[in-house]
Amino acid sequence: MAHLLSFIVFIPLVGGLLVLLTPKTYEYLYKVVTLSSLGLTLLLSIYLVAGFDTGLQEAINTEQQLQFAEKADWFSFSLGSLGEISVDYFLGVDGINVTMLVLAALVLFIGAISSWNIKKHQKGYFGLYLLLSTSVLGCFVALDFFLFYLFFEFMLLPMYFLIGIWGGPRKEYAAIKFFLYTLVGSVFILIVMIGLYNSVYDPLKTAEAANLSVSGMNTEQIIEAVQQQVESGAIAKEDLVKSFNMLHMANDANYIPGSFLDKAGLSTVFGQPARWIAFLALLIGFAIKLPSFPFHTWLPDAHVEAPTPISVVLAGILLKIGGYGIIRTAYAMFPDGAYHYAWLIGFVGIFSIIYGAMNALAQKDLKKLIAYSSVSHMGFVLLGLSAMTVEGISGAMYQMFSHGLISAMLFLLVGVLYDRTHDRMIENYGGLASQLPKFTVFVTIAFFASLGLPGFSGFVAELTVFIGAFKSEATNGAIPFWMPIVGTLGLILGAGYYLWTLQRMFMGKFWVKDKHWLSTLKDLELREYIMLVPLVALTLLFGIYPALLFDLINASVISFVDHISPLAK
Amino acid sequence: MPLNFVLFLGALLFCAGLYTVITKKNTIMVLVGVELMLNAANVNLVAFSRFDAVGIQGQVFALFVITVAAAEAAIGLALVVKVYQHFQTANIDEINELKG
Amino acid sequence: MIDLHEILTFNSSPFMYLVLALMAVPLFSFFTTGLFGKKAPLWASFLLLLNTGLAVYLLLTNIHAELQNFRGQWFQLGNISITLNIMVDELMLIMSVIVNFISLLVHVFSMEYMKHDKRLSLYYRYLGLFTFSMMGIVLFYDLLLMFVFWELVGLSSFLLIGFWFEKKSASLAANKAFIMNRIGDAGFITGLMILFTQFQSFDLEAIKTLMLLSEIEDGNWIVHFMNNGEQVFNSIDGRWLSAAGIALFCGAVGKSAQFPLQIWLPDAMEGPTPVSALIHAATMVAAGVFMLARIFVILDAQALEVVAIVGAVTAFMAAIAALSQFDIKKVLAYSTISQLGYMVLAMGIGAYSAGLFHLITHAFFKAGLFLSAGIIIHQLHALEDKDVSFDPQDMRVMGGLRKHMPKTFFAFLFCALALAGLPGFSGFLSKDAILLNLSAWTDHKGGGFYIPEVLAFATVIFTAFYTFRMIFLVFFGEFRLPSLIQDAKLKALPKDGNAKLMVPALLLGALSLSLWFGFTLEAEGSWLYHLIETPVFLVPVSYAATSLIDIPERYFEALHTIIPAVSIGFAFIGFVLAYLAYKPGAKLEKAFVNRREPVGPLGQISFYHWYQDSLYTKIILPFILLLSRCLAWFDAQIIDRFLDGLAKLAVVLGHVTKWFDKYFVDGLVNLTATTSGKVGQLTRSIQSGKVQTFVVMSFVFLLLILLLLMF
Repeated sequence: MAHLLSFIVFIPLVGGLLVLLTPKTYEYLYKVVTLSSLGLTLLLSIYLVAGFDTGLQEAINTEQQLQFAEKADWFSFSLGSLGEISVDYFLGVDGINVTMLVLAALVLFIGAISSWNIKKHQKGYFGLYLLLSTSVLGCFVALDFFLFYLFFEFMLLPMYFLIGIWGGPRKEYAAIKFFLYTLVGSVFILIVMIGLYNSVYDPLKTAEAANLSVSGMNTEQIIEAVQQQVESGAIAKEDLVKSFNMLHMANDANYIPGSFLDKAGLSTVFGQPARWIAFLALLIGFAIKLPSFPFHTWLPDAHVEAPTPISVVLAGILLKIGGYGIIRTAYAMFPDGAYHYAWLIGFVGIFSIIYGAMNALAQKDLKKLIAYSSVSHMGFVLLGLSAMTVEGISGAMYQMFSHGLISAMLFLLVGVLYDRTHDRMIENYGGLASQLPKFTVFVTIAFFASLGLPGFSGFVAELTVFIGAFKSEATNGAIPFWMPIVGTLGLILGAGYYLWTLQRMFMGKFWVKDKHWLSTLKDLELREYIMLVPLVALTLLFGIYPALLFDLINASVISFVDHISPLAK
Repeated sequence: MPLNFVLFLGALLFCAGLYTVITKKNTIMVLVGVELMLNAANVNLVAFSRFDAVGIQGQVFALFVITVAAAEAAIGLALVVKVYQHFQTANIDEINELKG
Repeated sequence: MIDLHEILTFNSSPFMYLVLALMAVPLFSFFTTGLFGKKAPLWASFLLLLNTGLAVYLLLTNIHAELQNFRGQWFQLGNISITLNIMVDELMLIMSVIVNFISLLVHVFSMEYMKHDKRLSLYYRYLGLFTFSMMGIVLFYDLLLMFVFWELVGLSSFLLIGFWFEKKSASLAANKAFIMNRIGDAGFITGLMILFTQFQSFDLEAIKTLMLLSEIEDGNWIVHFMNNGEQVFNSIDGRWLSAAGIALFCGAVGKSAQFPLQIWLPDAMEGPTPVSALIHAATMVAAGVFMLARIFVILDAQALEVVAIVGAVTAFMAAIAALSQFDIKKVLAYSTISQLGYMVLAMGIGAYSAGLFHLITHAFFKAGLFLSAGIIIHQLHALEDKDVSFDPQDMRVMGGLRKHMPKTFFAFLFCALALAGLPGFSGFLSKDAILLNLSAWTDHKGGGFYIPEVLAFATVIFTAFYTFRMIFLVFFGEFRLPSLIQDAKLKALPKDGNAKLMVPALLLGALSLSLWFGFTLEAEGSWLYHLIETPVFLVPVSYAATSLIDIPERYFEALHTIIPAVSIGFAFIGFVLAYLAYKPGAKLEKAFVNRREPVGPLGQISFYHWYQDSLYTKIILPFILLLSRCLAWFDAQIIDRFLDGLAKLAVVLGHVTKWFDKYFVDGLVNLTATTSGKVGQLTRSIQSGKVQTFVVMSFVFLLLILLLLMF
């Protein structure tokens, strides 16, 4: 199927337009359109995974490793003596983003089901939701930095309104906070993006622009020839075609000699090599999204105020864009920076793990607790990445996927309770297990999944991160031995805050603060089962049969680690 | 008769004409002032023609001026009459709009 | 050079499915029992009976067969293959019989014990889940898989301790058990990290093979092998070898309730008593010892010393704590901890066979004790009604039950004698073997290593003391309940339970006799002891401990006669002391009934278990909670405020620039405007629109120009 990725990305947008065109008298159609377009997206992305070649082993910065790639010139213009800028419409999947794409499609679909009881301004809500879907999906498959940035920024707009209009009491504050934080992150990314396009050229297009004779050469030979000629200065500066292609950016040979972010690393900013600073800027930009300490404080506010489906999407996918961005841009483009700052990243990782868990322990609001647990779990992603080993990177990616499923489940469950009582305070409930046994079963499953019980996907992820992180000092020396060992504290604290919450809210004698809740506290209904059961099943599936996911990412992760770790040892 | 006398007369006439043009509010009086100034110039032309080699150029010019002045007076008066008909006044200060 | 792939060959056979059925049947029970409603206990017990039969069949057919293993790939991580490995060896076969057998007895016992519970089928499902997970630990010869089931066992323990979740104490106990286990598991994971880093596999066979090949050079622990056609050369500091063993042992510390994590086990008695018998006495808590047995050969001398010391300290501390408890289940719980301490101590000194032997005998007699206690509790509980309410677990309400419940008495007595370690009972054989090896070990080691020996022998006295104290208080003298409840009248006197209760208890009582393990007074003479052979250490020589096998025979010669005598003597001393203190009508017995808690510093220390629990719940836990609140405060007030402050600063800055813009930038523009306005005002008078003025002006300027031209 040609243009499969374009279909996946833009079907929700078409759905969104349909929603906007549907008159208000047919209000019920909004949900139908939303659900069917996201359902179609999900089906297509499953179809994509089914056709994904898991054995494809190519260097991570070449286009040969991409599957379902689509590339077309979008626009280009001349910069006179500085050469030419070319922006492509470039989508593609490899082992690094294929899991994220499926996760996004799944969580968006489930989020759509959980949007069923949105009453206010349905047209606006579903329109924005579908717009958000397109930008999220696009963000994961865009391989042109310009396009990626466009999708990345475009997420903010629907998200801002979805929190700001359909949110809780302090929705305006939360929405603006979310917006500002992410925007600050984007600024860092933008700066690096500008620096990058000034420094990176597209060898194929340059060959065309410089009228190199290429007859009888295959693509790789052309690229090599161009790179040699650029190196020796045989190609004039004005003939260089600057590129936003992320894969080109990940290849040292495509950096213009003497440019700002040149591989020689002669330029400095604040006395540090420019490449390190660029790495740091990308890292901060995406760490805000991830979020990691100390940029995490937008998350609890945004979660507490956002409506349930938006919390689900926020925790389930939006945070993963942070992790994915770090892998795809910061690590792939500046592995030297990654190695230099590995200690810092690892430290921030374990600090986030423990700090998030400690904060979760002190929370009184159930949703805030889960938000902080997200901070803690995202710390594992950083810890895994900082190790720069195959196991560490795989673990980080597994953790992102697993946390997407589990946090979606957790926020849905909070939503279930909030729908019934409009209260999320832990202290206002007691012994819910006897009143809501089925709900309690799901909460227990979700809590145990989240605290990393074997059999659930979270365990595989955390274990892989740990063994990968520990391997680091023995193999490449990126982070010291003690970091993963200290990180295991997160496991203990995780059990602590989840079980304590379970004990306070669900065990003991049934008790609720407000008598009126007695009539509204009903056990799960069919729609809620439809959302929760698949998530539980998938969490279990990926916990019991991790090969399902590892097979998809293994080849890419190996070449990714080959790409980033020539420095090691 | 020395030339100075004639030039003084011309100057006097010119000043009188100029004074009339500057001070009089009535459009017709302004036209009369303009005529006076033209005639002051004529006096000067005729006076200077005595020193001319051909001897007649100044006078010919004066004749031209008189002719043109007559035409000018005719058109000017016609305009004044038209303006008067339109604005119901010939006061030069009140006719300050081009739009009719 | 060895290739990892040669060790990790994938193989399977139809026989494998038979072995896997040992796990599958309890799992099936977990999934299907819920469908049977009131018949759930029968269905679950039937499945367990099948499974026990299967386990026995496998034991009988394979006990002397060659080792068989089945391996497959679980998943691939990068280039490294993570395998599943099931090993059919003696240990696995014996353990699966014990687990299934005791689980079966508990299934039967629970039919009566739990019959009034409204969540009966859920209870049986949890039992199924537990048996499944426990079988997982037993079957898998693979540290990762063992850890997976290790945690699942923790989950089922959590669910069963908190089964009566309406009771706050039960839910708290469940949490405590899980979290304490988690602390140990953090250590387990650390051990996994170290071993995986070094050997690129969790498979015990691979780990053991490579461990044998690894060397210590210049203080570095080096291993060299092939994996995926690539040479792997791993070298880390040699201390990580010890660390790996100690870290893995941490897992056992949590699960087998060793010092300093043992405080969860007494609280775990909040669960139903059959559960205590199955999980918190016979099987799950023994999993730690089982795991130590699995990793025994890769433990180095230093790790083993830690294991031995922790075991001895635990055995001693718990025995002290058991001396003064009122709650019969608490006594049994502390006794379990103490016995587990013996097993761990045995592992630590290298007495592999003795430790496992004790694990097996202990599983029977401790389960028997719990089930007998369960009968007493159940029968006393039946006496409670709206007028009469008391704590049926409190030994102060018991007494004289020998007359009312004779069968229970015998079941209890047999098990108790095994616990006290009297000749003729199973406990004697196994405990003796441990003490014997311990003495040899001490002699060999010398130095400060006599301390474990002293602790272990002191524990023998205490064990006998608390065992007989319990017997005297529960079964001898007068039934104290009627006098305690004063005016209210009991509707009946307690009596033995029905067959469902009695058969399992009596069966276990009978199994506490030593004759099943061989007509002998020494472990050496037992068939079981010889079945479990102590393996040799595989760690590099410079780090390896001296194996007991290598200790010269002369160390043992004298001990063979002395140790049994000493141990019998000590047990007898314990008995005499207990008799003097707690025989019917003795001073302490009377005081005991009236006291709310033991008096005197020693009594207090014993009753509160060395105040360890208080240390955790009153000092460490509040400290952690305080820290977490401080951090939350820090997060909300400092970090968030700081970043919020940045935003506010931006707003303030915005106001400043607004002011600047309004009064300065705009002011400049306005100034320009007004200036030109004023100039305009000045020049406007000229532009009067009067033709005559223009004429004057032009004339004046003409004159000026003329003047200018003239001069």
